[in-house]
Amino acid sequence: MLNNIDTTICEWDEAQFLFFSDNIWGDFIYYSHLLPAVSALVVTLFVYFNARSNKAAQALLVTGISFATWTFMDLFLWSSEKIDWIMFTWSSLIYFELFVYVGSLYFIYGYIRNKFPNFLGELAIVLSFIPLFLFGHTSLNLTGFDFTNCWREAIEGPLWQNYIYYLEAIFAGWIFTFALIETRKPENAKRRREFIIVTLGTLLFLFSFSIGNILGSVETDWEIGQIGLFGMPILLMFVGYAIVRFESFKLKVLTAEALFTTAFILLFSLLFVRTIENAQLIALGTLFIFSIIGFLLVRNIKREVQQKEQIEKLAHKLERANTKLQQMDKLKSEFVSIASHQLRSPITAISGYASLLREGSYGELTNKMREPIERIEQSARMMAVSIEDYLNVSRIEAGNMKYNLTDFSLADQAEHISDDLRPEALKRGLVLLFRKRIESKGIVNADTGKVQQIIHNLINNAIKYTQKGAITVYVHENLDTKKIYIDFLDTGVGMNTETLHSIFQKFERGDKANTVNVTGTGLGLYVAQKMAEAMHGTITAHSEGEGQGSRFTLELPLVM
Amino acid sequence: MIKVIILRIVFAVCLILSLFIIYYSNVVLQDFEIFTNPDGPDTSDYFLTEDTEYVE
Repeated sequence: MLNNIDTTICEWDEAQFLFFSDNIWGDFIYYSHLLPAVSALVVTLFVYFNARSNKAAQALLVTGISFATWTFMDLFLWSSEKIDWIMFTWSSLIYFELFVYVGSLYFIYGYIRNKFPNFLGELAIVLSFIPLFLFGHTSLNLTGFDFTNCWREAIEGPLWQNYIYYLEAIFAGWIFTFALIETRKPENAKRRREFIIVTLGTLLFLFSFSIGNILGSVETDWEIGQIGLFGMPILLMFVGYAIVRFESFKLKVLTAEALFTTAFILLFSLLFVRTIENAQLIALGTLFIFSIIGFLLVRNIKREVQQKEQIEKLAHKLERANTKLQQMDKLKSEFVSIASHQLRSPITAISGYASLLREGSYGELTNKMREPIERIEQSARMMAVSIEDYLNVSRIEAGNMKYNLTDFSLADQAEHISDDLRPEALKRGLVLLFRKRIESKGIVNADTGKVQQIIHNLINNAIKYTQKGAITVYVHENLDTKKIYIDFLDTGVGMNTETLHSIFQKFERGDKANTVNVTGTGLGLYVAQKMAEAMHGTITAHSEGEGQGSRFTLELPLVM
Repeated sequence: MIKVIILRIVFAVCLILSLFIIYYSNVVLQDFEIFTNPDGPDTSDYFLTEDTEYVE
C-alpha cells in the first residue's frame, strides 16, 4: 500500500537524529517537548536516588520516565517523514499515555499510604490494558494514515477516540476518590493539607496533559496539545512545595530550589515565543499559579530559617547555661571537698583525745566520766565516716577518685573484715558468719582499700538494719563467667520493691532506717556502687519484702 | 506478593508482545490504510474538506 503512493508530492524534510527536521514548524515544538521531558527525568531521578525505598518516589520515577518517553515519541511524530514509523510510534504512544496515568495513581497511593494498590486494584489496571493488547495493532487503534494533506497525521480509531480517554477519566476519578477518602480519615488529619496539595498538583498535571491531546484528537488541531506538556512543571512545583513544606522524601531545600529554577526558566522563556499567542496567554496563567506557589514556598522557607535561627540561639543559650552549671557543680564539689578536709582534722583530734581519755592516758576515769567520753568517741567516729562519704562523693563526681589496682584474694579480705566486725555484731546480739565455696584462689584485680571499704560498708549496713538473728558473708564463684561474688545476707528489716529500686541513689536510706534507729548519710551504698563499677564490678540488692531480710551481692571479675 | 509479581510479569510479557506486533504490522508488513484523494479507497471521501490537497 505504501509503495503505491508518491510521498515526493509533499515537501517533507528527512529527519536527522530522529528529532531534527524542517517538518517541525517553529522552535516552539522543541521547547515544549524537550524542556518538560528533560526536567521530568532529572527531577524524578533525583528524587528517586535520594529516597529509593519510598513508594511515592518509585512511582514518580515511573511517571517521569513514561512522560519523557511519551514526549520524545511525540516529538518524533512531529519531525519524522517515514509513514510506517509514524504509524508504529503513534500506535505505541497509547501505552505510554496510560502509563502516565497509572504512574500518577501509584504516586498518590505511595505518597499517602507508602504502598501501592492491592492485588485486586493491580488486576483491574492490568485488565484495562487488555483491549490495547488485543487491538493495538489493528485499525481500532489507528484507522489509517491521512494522505489527503501533507500534515503527516494518522486517523485515530475508537481505541484512541473513546476508550483511552474514558479510561483516563476513570483513573483521574480513582485518584480523586482515593485521596478524598484518605484525607477524611481521622488518622490522616495532621497531613490533610499535604495530601490535598499533592493530589491537586497531580490532577492538574493530568488534566493539563490530557486536555491538549483530547482537543487535538477531537479538533485535529495538535498545536494546542503542546501547551498541555507544561503540566509536568506544574506537578514538579507541587512536589517541590510538598518537599519543603512537609519534608516529603526527606530531601533538602536545595532540591526544591532546583525544581523551581527549572520550572521558572521554562515558563519565563515561554513568554518570548511569539509564534503562538495562546501559548503566551497560558504561560502567563501558569506563571501566575507558579508565582503564588513560589510565594508560599519562599514564605515557608523564611519561616523555617527563622525557626532554625531561634533554635540555634536557644541551643547557644543552653550551651552557656550548661557550661555555667558544670562550673557551679565543680565549685560545689570543691567546696564540699575543702569543707570536709577542714572538718576531718578536728574530728580526728576529738576522736584521738577521747580514745586516750577512755584508755586512762590522762588518769583513771570514774564510771560517771566513762560514759560521756565513750559517747564523744562514738559520735566523732560517726562524723568521720560521714565526712569520708561526702569526700568520696565529691571525688567521684569530679572524676578525681584514684584506683590503685593490684591482685589480691577477695575471700581473704572478706574473712578478715568479718572477723574484725564480729565483736560489733555480738555487741548487738547478732551472729556474724563467714562461709566460702570457691575452687580458685579467688584473686581479683582491684583497689584493696576500696574493696575493703565496700565490704566494711555492706557488713556494717547488715548489722545496723538487723535487730535479731544472723548475718552471713558468703563467698562463691562462677568459673564459666569468671566472676566472684560475696553475698551479704541478713535477717533484718528487709526492703519493699520501691526501696530496692532507689537504694543505690544518693541520700537514699532504707524505709525502716528511722524505726530501727539507724544513723547515716544515705551515701554509703551510692559510693560503694560507684567504686564497684569503676573496678568492673557491681553491687545488687535483693529482698523478699519488708521483714524478710536482705541480700546484697558484690560481684567482681576473677583473675584466672 | 507472589500473585502481584506474577501479574506484573504477565503484564510485561503482554506489553512487549503487543509492541512487537504493532511494529511488525506497521513497519515490516506496512499493513495499514492510507487515505488518499481522489483515487483512493471510497472511505477517503469522508475526509474531504475544501482545503484538501489532492494527490494525483
